[in-house]
Amino acid sequence: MSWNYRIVIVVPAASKSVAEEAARSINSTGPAYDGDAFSMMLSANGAEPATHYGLYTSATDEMIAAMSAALPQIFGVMFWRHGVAGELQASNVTDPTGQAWGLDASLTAAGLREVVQPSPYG
Amino acid sequence: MPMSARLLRPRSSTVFNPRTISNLALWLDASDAAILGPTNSGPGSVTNNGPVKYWGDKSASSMNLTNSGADSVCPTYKTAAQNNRSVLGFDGGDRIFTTSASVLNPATKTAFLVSRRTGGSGEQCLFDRADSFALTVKAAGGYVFYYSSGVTGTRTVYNAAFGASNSNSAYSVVVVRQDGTAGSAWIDGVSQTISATQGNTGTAAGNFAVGSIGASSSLTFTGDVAELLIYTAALSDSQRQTVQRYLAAKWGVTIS
Repeated sequence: MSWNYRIVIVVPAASKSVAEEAARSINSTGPAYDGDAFSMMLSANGAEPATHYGLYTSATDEMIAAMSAALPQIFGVMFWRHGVAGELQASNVTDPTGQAWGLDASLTAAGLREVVQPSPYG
Repeated sequence: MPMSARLLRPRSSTVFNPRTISNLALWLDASDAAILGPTNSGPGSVTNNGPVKYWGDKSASSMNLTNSGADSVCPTYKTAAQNNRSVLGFDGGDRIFTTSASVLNPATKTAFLVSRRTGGSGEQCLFDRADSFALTVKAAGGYVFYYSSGVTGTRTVYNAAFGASNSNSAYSVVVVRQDGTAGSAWIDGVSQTISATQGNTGTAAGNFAVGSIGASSSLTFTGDVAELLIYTAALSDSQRQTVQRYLAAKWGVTIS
C-alpha cells in the first residue's frame, strides 16, 4: 500500500455528519474507529463557533478513488490533493499548476482559519 | 611490517543508552520502526507517509501511546526525514496519547524533545501531561513550558514563555525541567530565560499526549517529532548534557 497523496477536505458544518459517514469508507483500518475524522474546527475569523470542519491526511490510490466517488454527495465540500512532495495535483477550488501546497494554503484559499483555542493552563 | 594486534583491536562501543540514567519514565523514538504500528493494537509494519496509531515506549514503563481514531487524526510515518532517520509528522489535527500516565505522577521531571514546527497558527502542543507538565510552541516563535511546584493539593501552576526569537522551524533539542519548586529550559544546550506567571491547574492527570492537549483536539501541533524522553527526576546538569549530546549526535542537531 503506497501513500502517495495528501488530501485536505473542508465541509460546511451542516454537511459534517454526511462527510463523516463518507470518511468511514476510506479509512485504512476500516470504518469502525473512535471519534471524528473531521477534527479541525474552522471559521473565517478563527473564532468560535466553527462554520466549517476540515481534515488533512495521507491517502492511497484506492482511497482517492473512493473519495472521488463520495465527494459529490457532500454539499459544499472543498478538496485539495497534493503529492507527498507538496505539489498541488487536483482541487475543486484552486486551479492546480503544480504549485507548492499544504494545509495552510488550502485554508487560505478557502478563506478560513483554524479556531484558536486557549491553553487550559492559562 | 605487519600492523600490531593492539592497533587492529576495535575500540569499545560507547553508544549512550538513555536507560542508564535512573528514572527514565518515557522514551519515544520515531527512528525505531520496531515500536511503531499502523493500528492501535501494537507494533506492526508502518509505511512511509502512512498513519501511525501505536508508538511504543522504550523505557521500562510500557507507557505506550495509541490512537484508535481515523487516519486523519493520527500522525504520519516519514522515513529518512532528519539525519537519515524517520520521524512522525503531525499535520494540525493529529495526536497520539495514553489515558494511563500515572508513571509521570512525581513532582520532579525533566523532558527532552527533538522536534520542529512546520506550519499552523497560534499555540500548538508538543506534549502534555494533563496536570500541567506541558510544552507548546507558538507560531510567532518560541515555546511555553507549563510546570508546577509543590504537590497535589498545594500545587502552584506556572506558564513560562522562553525562546521568543526562536522560530522553532528547525529541528532542535529542547529540554524542560521542573525541580519541585522552579522551572528551567534549554534550547540546543543554551539555557533560556523564562518568564513565569501563575496559571490554571489542569485536569485529568492520567492523560499524556503528543501533538495535542490530552486526548482532545485542542492546540494540535503542525510539525515533526523525532524523539521524546521524560525522566521523573530533576536531572543534574551533567546528566542533562549527556542526554543532549546523545540526541544532538543522533539527529544531526548542533548544540552549544
